[in-house]
Amino acid sequence: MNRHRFKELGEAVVLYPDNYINDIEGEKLEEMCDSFLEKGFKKIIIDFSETDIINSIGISILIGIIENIKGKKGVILFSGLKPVNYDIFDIVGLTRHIPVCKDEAEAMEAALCAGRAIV
Amino acid sequence: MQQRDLSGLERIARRRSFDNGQFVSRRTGEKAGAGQGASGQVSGAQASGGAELTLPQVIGCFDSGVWEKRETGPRIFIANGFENNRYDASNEVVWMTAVKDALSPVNIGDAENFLRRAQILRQNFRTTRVFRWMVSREGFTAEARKRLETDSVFSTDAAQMRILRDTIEDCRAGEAPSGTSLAPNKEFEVVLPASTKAELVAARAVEEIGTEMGFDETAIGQIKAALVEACINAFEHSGLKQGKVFLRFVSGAGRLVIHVQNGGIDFEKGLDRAVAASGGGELKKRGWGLELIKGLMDEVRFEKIRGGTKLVMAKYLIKGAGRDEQA
Repeated sequence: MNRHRFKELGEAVVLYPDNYINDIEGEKLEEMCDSFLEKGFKKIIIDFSETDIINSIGISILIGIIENIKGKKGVILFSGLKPVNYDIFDIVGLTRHIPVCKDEAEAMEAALCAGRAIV
Repeated sequence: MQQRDLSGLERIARRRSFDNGQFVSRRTGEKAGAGQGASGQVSGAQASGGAELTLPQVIGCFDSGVWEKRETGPRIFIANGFENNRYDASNEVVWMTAVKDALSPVNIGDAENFLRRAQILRQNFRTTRVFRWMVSREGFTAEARKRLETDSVFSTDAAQMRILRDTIEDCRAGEAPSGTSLAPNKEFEVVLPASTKAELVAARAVEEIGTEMGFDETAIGQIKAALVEACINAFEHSGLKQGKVFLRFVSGAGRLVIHVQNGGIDFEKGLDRAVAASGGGELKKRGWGLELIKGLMDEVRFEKIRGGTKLVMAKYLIKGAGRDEQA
């Protein structure tokens, strides 16, 4: 079973979920987030540019991830959302809770700003 | 009121040509084609070279429940009408129609049941002109079809029925451009087994269909996401470990209609329960299925069927076309 790709950039980490986020993929993503939080990463960017479909179970896991990261005073941002995934996040109200950036670079910049604000 | 209905039906009875074969199959040699005095009936259609459709001039329709308190099997719908625009006893005609909307074809037992009940029911009418018609979602077994043909009973499967229904709707619309109203629907069926990521097979299928229809990438993504959600819920609430999910895609008239059905319990209730169980102001974690489907598609409805519920959802090529029509 492949794990999601990721990229560490200073105190931030970018995660790249698979094409389809369901219960299995969502749990893998959750494990990775937990793992990076334990390692001390406080800024997590999830880049969905390779993700075509997110189902409702995947959504529920993402909500759990968001709550977990926020509970540990971390920062989470989304980037690279395809229009349909933006629609889905909008329907469930996630876009009102999480910064959604156009791409990874914009998210990284926003993460740095957020980090300064937190510090 | 009656006169207006009859006028509408007269319009429906206009001659139309189709390339989809027969609407109502019947024993060879008994097809009522053009010029055979079939007015006031759903006529058998010619197998090739076009077909003629003439519908009954119905003045009343009811089901057999009032006369059949203890019968089993599907309800029989009875339509009472007249031929030749003459409202007298000699032109009275009765149609008896049984609809089997289940996941199995009409078998010999169903056919015999219908023939027996129709024989009893016809005693309630003075006219001898009684037509019998069986409609089945999943078609007919060879044995059943042969039995029905022997008794000159019309038989129609789901595809034929949809063509018939769409034609009636087109005729009623009247103003619809002829180029689109006569465009035949394309129909695809997919059966998903209970296996990991089976819903992605459905998504791939609908992507192909949607692309061919001319939906843009965003709309296709929305349809795929809604379909994935519908499939997951259908599996989840099938009540069977090895349950299957049955999908039907109907493309035509500027829209794609998707039917999602499982062989188990009512999955509408499952969707509703999940939503009802969610919290108030905070982000709720579960129960987004139905809301996502409604948010991504133009029309969503549940249809009660024998043995559960079927989810029917539609997406229009022109955004909001269906809603405008309904308004």
